[in-house]
Amino acid sequence: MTQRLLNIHQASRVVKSGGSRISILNEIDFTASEGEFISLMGPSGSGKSTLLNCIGMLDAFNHGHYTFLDQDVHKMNERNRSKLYREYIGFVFQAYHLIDELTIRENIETPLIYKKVKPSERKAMVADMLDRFNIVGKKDLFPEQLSGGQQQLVGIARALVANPKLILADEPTGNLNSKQSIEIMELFSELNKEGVTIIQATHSEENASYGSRIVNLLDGRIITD
Amino acid sequence: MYSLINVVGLTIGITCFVFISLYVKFELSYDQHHEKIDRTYRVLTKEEGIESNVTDVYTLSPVPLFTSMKAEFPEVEEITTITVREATLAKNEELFLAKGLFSDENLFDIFTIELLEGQDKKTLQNKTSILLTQTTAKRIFGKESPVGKTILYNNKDVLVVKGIVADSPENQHFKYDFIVSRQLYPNWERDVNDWFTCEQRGYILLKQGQDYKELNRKLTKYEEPMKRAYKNGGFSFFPKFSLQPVKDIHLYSNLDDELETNSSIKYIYFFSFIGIIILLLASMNYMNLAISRYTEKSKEVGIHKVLGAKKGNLLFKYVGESLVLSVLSFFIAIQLAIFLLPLFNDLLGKNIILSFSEDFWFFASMLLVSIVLGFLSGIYPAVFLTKVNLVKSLKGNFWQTRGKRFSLGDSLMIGQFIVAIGLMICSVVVYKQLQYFTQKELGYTKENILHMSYTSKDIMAKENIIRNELLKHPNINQVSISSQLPIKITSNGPVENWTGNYEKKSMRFYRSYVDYDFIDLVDMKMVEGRSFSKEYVTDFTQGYIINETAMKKLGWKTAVGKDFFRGKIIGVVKDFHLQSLSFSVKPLFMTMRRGPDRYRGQILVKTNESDFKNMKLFIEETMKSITPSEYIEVKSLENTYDNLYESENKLGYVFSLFALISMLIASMGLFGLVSFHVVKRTKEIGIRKVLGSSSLGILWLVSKKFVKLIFISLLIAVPIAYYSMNTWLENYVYRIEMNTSIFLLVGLIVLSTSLITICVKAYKVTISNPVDSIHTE
Repeated sequence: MTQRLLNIHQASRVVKSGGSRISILNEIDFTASEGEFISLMGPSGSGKSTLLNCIGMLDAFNHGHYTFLDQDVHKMNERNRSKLYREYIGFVFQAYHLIDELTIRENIETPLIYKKVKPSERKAMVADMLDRFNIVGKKDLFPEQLSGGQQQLVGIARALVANPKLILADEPTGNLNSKQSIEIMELFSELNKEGVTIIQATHSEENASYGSRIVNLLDGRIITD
Repeated sequence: MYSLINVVGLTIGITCFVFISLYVKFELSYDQHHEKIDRTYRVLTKEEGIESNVTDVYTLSPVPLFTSMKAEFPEVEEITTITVREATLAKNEELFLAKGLFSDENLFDIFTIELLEGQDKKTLQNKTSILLTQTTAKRIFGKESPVGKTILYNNKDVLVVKGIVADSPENQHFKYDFIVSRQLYPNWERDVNDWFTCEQRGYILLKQGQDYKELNRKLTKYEEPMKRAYKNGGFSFFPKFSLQPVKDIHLYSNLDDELETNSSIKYIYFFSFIGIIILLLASMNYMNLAISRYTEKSKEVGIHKVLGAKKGNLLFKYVGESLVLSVLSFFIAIQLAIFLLPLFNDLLGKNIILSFSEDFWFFASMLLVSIVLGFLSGIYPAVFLTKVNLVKSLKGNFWQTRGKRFSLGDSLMIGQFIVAIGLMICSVVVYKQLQYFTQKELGYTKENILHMSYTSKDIMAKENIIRNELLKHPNINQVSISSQLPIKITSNGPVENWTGNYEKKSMRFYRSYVDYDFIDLVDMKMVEGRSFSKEYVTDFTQGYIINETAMKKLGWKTAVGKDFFRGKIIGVVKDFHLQSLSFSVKPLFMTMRRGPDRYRGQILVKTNESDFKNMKLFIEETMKSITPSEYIEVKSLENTYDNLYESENKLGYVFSLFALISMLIASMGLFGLVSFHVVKRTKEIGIRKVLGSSSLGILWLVSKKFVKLIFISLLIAVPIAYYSMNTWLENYVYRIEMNTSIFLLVGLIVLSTSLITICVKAYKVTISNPVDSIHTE
């Protein structure tokens, strides 16, 4: 039996909008084990992104319990929480969210700096990533000089560089054409085979099919798992 | 919030500008209210050594010169004399000290002096009349009408009040509380025909169309006869005469015996410069804030554009906005200026009045300046905004391009900080120099000494009684009477007789007439010989003490026993600062007070009581019991000393005030720029947080650039400030050295203020949830 990575129990997220309270996530029960490739599906506004952000600890549930690697996330202070996700979680975004002022190499290096990895080690790890994704020749370019697919490649390299246990991807192919999409999804499935746990939010059935498990959301509730 | 900061910034800028304009306007208006000012000139006397190269320019001239000029030069329409001197006026038993203007009836032909009641011209033809200013009349007579009543002048002459004149205007180079005939001036009878005494200031009115330079040249005809006469009279110098336009006195003249301390055109330039700089600062500030605000609202611009707004519409909208704000600021600034005017007057020691009816053009021009300011400040951000790409601005991320190294905003900020840092350094230097003034070892003591000045023969006659009565108080240790205070010895004149002066050279000596106790009371040190002593009878009649500088100038190794002036040297006193520290120590001699030297002077009292208030009361009461008719005001020597540096004090205030204001404005500008910067980088900050950056890391990311900008400003400001303050310090023979600690201190203040400002703005984004900022799609 594979080890359980995270467990969410009866968790909700409610925001105030004007005078009324809107619940974005409602009594979610969700578990993920190491090695899984989970696709969160559902229409716009169903709560996929919020769930992803909450899992990634960028956002927090208002109610319920969330344990990550047997640690109570909802009981942690911000400092420990950010330490936890810095250690174990990598993010991939729809809009890549690369830092425009930094080169490709510097972009990939950033999480390592924040993780306080030594410069020499950093260099080796970044070189590794550049090699692995075949973008060595682009290392001194700036993000805007790359195509969308290449930028997302860099985004994934950046998410992976610190060896996370979990990659959270929010519509990773949303800004890409179909050929680029296929490339990215194949990369994900390869990474999954190497043992990285992936949770992605997506609209596309096709993308979802790469995963090992599909979770459907509607209006903040999980309808099928 | 932004509009508020903007209005505050503009208001501060405009208020400062209004004040500076008021000051400049006031200074430039000096003496302009006299109708014939363009034809009025003052006679100057330049004393030149016959053989040596001693020169000195005085505003005082001999009286016979005026008579002669009137008779010999047809271009002279009128001539009068002016002297100002304090005197006591008494009504019944009550005594008032007041400033008298001594002149003749021509005064009213040359200067415009408004008569409110009674007669004028005739009054000055006889010695029994007096004209009071409105304020003096009220002070002495209260509500009753003074015309026709009598006043006791200096305890001897009974004068009839013949009229009331308007108070002397603040912007007039001579001020007075009353006007009397010059025949009442002490020694007038003696001076009137004496070419050798200069005690009166001559003012002439030229006929229409006459050039004063022409007349100036003609005045050289006096040179030869003067030279001869002075030489025959045993003087080694002689006077040359020239004319000076009266309208130039306040800003261009700083001669001996000016009627008041004049200002200088340099100050006018300096303050105008500061005024413009502060306006510029306010304008830069506005631009920075406007750009940063528009950035945050860029979506609005995008929507306007989508809805079909043309460039012109948008320009009009945003320039209009800044115009409205600047005009609003103008009105607040005017209110503020009126409210703060008394404070401002206090600060500068002026009495500037602002009234809507009289200063209409002033207000109008200030409004115009504000409008121009608003327009200029608005046009740049507006143009900038309308150039922004439509799609990008709608998406809210039009800052995604890597910008130039320095934007205009950055340069504006550097400019602001250069000014703020520069002014701050200036104020610290002025402050340090002021501190130096009070702490400098002067060569005498000014602590625990009270003094009072007197100007009457009555006191001279009662010297011994005064001394004995004062010494009866257990806490009074010593009493001395001398001609001048050691802090400011101004009396000087040529000495031509000393051992070794074979060529009959002339040397200018400062002089102080003292008594047996003076040197001991003020704790001066003798380096050779001894102080004045009762044990040597000749000390009183022919003993001289000189200072070290004098001995050096005379070329002597030892001094005691040598011939000097009208006697012999008995001692040499260690150099002390006989004037303000602007001046080097000059040659000085001290001798005993005798005969007519004594009718005016200073009574010094040394006490070991710390409560000056009580002591002053005791002295005043004692004096009243001895000479009830004398006006006595007891002051502490330390205070009098501090007053020497009043203008430096004011300069210090002004510098620190402007430093504070410019720092405030610069901080506001910084605030705007940081906001702009933070908005620009919101997404990046979000990403970095997601990637695991700490809050401190984000704070540094945001501040880094500004810390760099401030360092650049420091690098530019420090040499400029250093150079200009060095120039200022050169005015003082005795001065502080500027050291790095001053610059470090200022750097530290500026950096910490800026960091606080940055933190206030950056904190919000530092703790914000990154999810919000990266969700821009």
